[in-house]
Amino acid sequence: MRETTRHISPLQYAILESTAFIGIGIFEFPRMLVLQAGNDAWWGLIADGAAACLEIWLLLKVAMVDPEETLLGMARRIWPGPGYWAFGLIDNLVHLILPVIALTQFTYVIVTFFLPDTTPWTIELVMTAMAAYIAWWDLPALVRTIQVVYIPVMAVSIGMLILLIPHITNTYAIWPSANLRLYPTMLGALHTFYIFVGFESIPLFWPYVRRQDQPRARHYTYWVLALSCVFYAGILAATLGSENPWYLVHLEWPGISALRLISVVGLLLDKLGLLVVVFWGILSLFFISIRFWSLTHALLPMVRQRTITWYRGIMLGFALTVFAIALLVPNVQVADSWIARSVPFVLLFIFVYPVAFLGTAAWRKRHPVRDIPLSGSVHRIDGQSSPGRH
Amino acid sequence: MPSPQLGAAARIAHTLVNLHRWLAQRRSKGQVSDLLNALEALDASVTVALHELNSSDGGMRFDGDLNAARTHLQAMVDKSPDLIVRSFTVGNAWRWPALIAFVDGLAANQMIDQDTVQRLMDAPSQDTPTPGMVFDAARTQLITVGHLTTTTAWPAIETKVLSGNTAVFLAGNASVILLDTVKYPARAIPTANIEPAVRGPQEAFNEVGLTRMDQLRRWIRSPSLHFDAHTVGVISQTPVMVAYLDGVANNALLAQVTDRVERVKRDVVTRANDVAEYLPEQRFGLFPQYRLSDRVDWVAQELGQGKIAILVDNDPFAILLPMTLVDFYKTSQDYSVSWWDGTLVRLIRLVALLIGLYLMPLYVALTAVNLNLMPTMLLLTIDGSRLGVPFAPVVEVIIMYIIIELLHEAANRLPKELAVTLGTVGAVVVGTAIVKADIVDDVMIICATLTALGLFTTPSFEMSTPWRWLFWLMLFGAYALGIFGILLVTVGIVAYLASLESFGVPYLSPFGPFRTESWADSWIRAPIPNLRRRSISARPVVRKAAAANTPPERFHLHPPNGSSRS
Amino acid sequence: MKLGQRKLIRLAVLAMLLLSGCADNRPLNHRALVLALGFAPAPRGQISMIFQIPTPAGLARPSMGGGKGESSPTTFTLVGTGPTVARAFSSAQADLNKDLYFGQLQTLILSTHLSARQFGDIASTLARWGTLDKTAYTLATPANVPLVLSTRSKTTPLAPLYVSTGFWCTHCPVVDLKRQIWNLEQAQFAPAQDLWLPGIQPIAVGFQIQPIVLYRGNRVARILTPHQTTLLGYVLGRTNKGTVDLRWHGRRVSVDSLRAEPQLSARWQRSRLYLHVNLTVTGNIYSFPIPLAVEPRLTWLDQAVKHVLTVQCRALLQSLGRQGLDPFQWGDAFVWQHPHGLKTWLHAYRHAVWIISAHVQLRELGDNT
Repeated sequence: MRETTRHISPLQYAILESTAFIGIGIFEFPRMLVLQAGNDAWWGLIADGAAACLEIWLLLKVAMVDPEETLLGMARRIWPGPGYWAFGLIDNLVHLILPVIALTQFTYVIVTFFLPDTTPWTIELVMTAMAAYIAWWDLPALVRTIQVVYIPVMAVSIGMLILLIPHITNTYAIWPSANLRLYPTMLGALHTFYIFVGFESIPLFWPYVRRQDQPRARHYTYWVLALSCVFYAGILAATLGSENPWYLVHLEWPGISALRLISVVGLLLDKLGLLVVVFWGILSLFFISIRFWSLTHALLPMVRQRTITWYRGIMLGFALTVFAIALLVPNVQVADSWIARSVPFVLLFIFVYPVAFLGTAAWRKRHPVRDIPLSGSVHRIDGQSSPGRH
Repeated sequence: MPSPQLGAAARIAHTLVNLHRWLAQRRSKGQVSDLLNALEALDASVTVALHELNSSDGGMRFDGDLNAARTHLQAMVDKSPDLIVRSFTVGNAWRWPALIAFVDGLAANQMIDQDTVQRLMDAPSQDTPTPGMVFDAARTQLITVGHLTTTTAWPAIETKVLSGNTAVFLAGNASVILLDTVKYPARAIPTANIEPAVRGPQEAFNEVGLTRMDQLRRWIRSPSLHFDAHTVGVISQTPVMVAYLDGVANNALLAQVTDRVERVKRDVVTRANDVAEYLPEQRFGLFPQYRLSDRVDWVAQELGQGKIAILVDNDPFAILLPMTLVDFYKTSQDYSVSWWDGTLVRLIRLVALLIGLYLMPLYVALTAVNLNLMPTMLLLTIDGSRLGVPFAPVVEVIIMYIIIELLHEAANRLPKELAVTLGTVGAVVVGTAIVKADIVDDVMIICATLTALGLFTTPSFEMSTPWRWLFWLMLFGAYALGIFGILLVTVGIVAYLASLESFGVPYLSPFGPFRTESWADSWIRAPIPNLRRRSISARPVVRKAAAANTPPERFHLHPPNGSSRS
Repeated sequence: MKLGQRKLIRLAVLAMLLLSGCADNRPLNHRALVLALGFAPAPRGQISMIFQIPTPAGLARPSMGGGKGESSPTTFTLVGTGPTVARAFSSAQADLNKDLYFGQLQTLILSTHLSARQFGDIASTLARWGTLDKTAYTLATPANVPLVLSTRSKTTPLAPLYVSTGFWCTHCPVVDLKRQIWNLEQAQFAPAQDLWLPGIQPIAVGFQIQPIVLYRGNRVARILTPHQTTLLGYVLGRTNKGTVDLRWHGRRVSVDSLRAEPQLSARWQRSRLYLHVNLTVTGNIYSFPIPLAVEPRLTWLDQAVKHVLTVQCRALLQSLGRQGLDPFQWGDAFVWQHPHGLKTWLHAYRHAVWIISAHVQLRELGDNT
């Protein structure tokens, strides 16, 4: 019976993985893509999908180096000493940037469309507090929460995209261009890849999947990517078709603006499209929760702690840090510029480290270091306040 | 040689006996009669204590001394009149001294009079009696009560006598015959009024443990139905039965439940909830983690699912566990009607829950924060109906909700006949008057009514309580942040529910984690032949509950055209 | 930290949450629901904003018939004037003790006399109002905007709902001229497409929504006649109940309920742009002077309707083309595929050859054949 609390099923893993990235880019997509790639936007999305596929492949390889050990646990063995610390700190930094971006993005969405007179910090505070609360009971409860909410939210989102079909008047804009321009397409793809940032959590979640379920989970990861690509393609088609492309690139949140067209006369709530904005906010909330969890689980092995008390303490510390950083963002433009600056750095990290990691792991296999334990010491929270086992 | 403590006790006793005699001579004085009574009781206790101290085993066993036994019994309940201790003789010729003890009202008089005392007294006897001979004759030939045991230990005798057994002491015999003459004054087997069902079994438990076991045995006539007896209540010595289906219920779960029941240390246990509240891991958890039910068929069904029932004596409600959220929305009737009906009512309960929880907060959110989400005509209608109302929507909601709760509680406390009147008062007088007085608007009355209906539609009323608490949180969310606040609170509630585990079973199962195979009996109720597997939530040892059964072949009662009738 | 201090901090946080978190909690009766909003030019280059707000009498009977309750007005209009939209808004807000709320806006009415600068200011301000309902219907009027907003409708008790109730029914009006704030904002950025809005005029019994007002670069370029509006409606696929009047041996024949499914295509031939409009027209005949059940008469009707439509539509489209007015999506589609081809397109469009073809099917002939 302990198993239900310690492990997650492949489906839960898939949903977790999907929520780990979909909450960050859903609002801004596809502005940068259309702005940079123009009528080659579709090719840009395909390029992003392919790059994400490559990233997943690399990250799964990293996770499989020791399928029962978390990323930082493995890193301790692969890069002992300063390398481990440097990696850990950069990893933490990446996990710290992402929730700040998601938090500020969604806060300004809410303030713009829903609560114009509410101060942004209030939204940031309640979002941070709720995200921390969701992550409070560690991964299994977090996953269950996401599982229960995620599927209805996605079903409603897809329903809304279907309701948007009658509003697609610019059908010409949906067709991809016949003459591909490589440079703008790649530029658009690069600036839009943030929609898939989050897959780097794979090695963190991996040890929670039962060993016998891991092959299934590997397949699910690719399915998650494929379905997400379809979902993003739906948003791209809906926004291009209902807004014209030149208007789209002037909108901060094209998806939301498109959804606001939906109005079903005769229902209790007739602006259904606007309601989806709040639903998507839940995806942002989960994204932040997962980041809190990831941040804490990236740090716990570094401080050699694994009790629930430490987990909660560090998680709250990170939550406050994220909140404090988010307070520094005065408006959405600044948030955008932060994203523009930080995303290349994040991308560089998530592509470079798996390659370096796998290379070093292969080298270590040939030249094992005696001092470093080769297995055991799984850095997971026990749910008890017993001292760590290292 | 007596120990120093024994000597001291003897000296105290001697002094007290002298004092007793001195006071007895002055009893006519009257002022000291109360003191005398107290001293007499003390005397008896001390005598018993002395006897026990002098006896070799510390007085924990009966030693064949009838006088000592009488004193012991009387001292046990401090002259309580319900304990009957009577001396008589066995055998019309033997005239062997004997003592019988029982509690008047708990024991069956007929069994004592006719099957025990009369039989013993009238026993033909010729040989010279010996203690052993008398005991054997009484046990094997004379007493005709079916259930008979023997013991020598006083604690066992005391407990048995106080629970309705009859003890027969024979002079010179250290063994005491205990007769099962238990016959509690009990209610007849009642109809299940608390959890009513239009169809299906109507039988409920009463307060008597044995009757309840019998009732369950009638439902499950299998040796795998086990009742593990435990006793809780240090003073009350309340019997508790842990019922389960051996080979179906999860052993680890059973061990955990047994352990938790045995760890209940409380002087007096008067009801099932006294035990039940000890069981969950979260003492302050908002949501119930066990369900109390007095329906025999329901308990039998849950046992069949691999769950465990705890029957606490004197409380007709059995504790059922482990429970998930959706389990609280199932009723016995769901299975007694067609699956379409069962599914429909369960979905209605879900809708009722959503209405009860969300309607009023939505009203606040849509009329004070997110006005743009509402259809214009509806908003204008509400705006029009609120023209004379001085209060903010949230205040209206608070007023109406408090009225609902007041009416609810008042209806609970009043006799049934008056409760109907109260309903009329609530609905007509308060409802109409409050709108006329411009305290709340018309739409609010509709919302309040639907909310009340929604929140009290929960079949298991303990589940309505958490929602009634969470309603306030939801209202605050709506008040502060509108629809966004409502959604945040909703996610918070889901997160809380997801964190709950009832005896290792995730509370949101089978939806979080997904157990799709258990969905057939969750918010929907599939046809009974299709419910072939037990719900996974209680991790039963055997998942298969029924053999695969394909629908029967189409059968033609009328012969096809052209064939001859037989 | 002492216990008292902690409690104080908690209380302070809670108080801050309560005070700042409920800033948007402004109950219905503290808000003035702006149901219709008008913009008109004011003297000295200023902008007037005209707000139409329901009165308590209007709120008390929003759905009751308007005929009997005319004793007290159901709406009132509030005017604010200023050099910019924001200043005009502030000026109006200062005159009211309630918060002007746009979340339930039904209709936006723009004067056709607004300058391009004013029009641009309005469009960009509207785009930035997050809570403004972008699906509110947008119309243009050559009439006095306060007059339009104070006109009562005989059929709809709350006049501002006249437009929305009319547009909710897609097939009710002769030409479905539904345009929303959304379209207005969108057109600001479309490279080749020109904005068009339905025109609204107050009449004796309420309103007339008929002519199409065509814009070019935020200025009114042309206001079509009602007949031209119907013709353009065929090409835009928006005419539901068109009528063609014909003469059969000197007697009037009327074909009703004409609607067209347009198929638009463009082709280049020797650097010349050919724009094809293929209309599939359906209609009914209710007014025909003699029995109809003769094949040649039906064929004649088909041909006559086809002829009238193609000739009249071609004339209209050519005149629009010569003016460079493009209410269609041809230009945008071209520029989307040829990002640097805007100039080429605009030049070609002015000199395009219009080819109109129509296929007519008369469906309901009535019971009297």
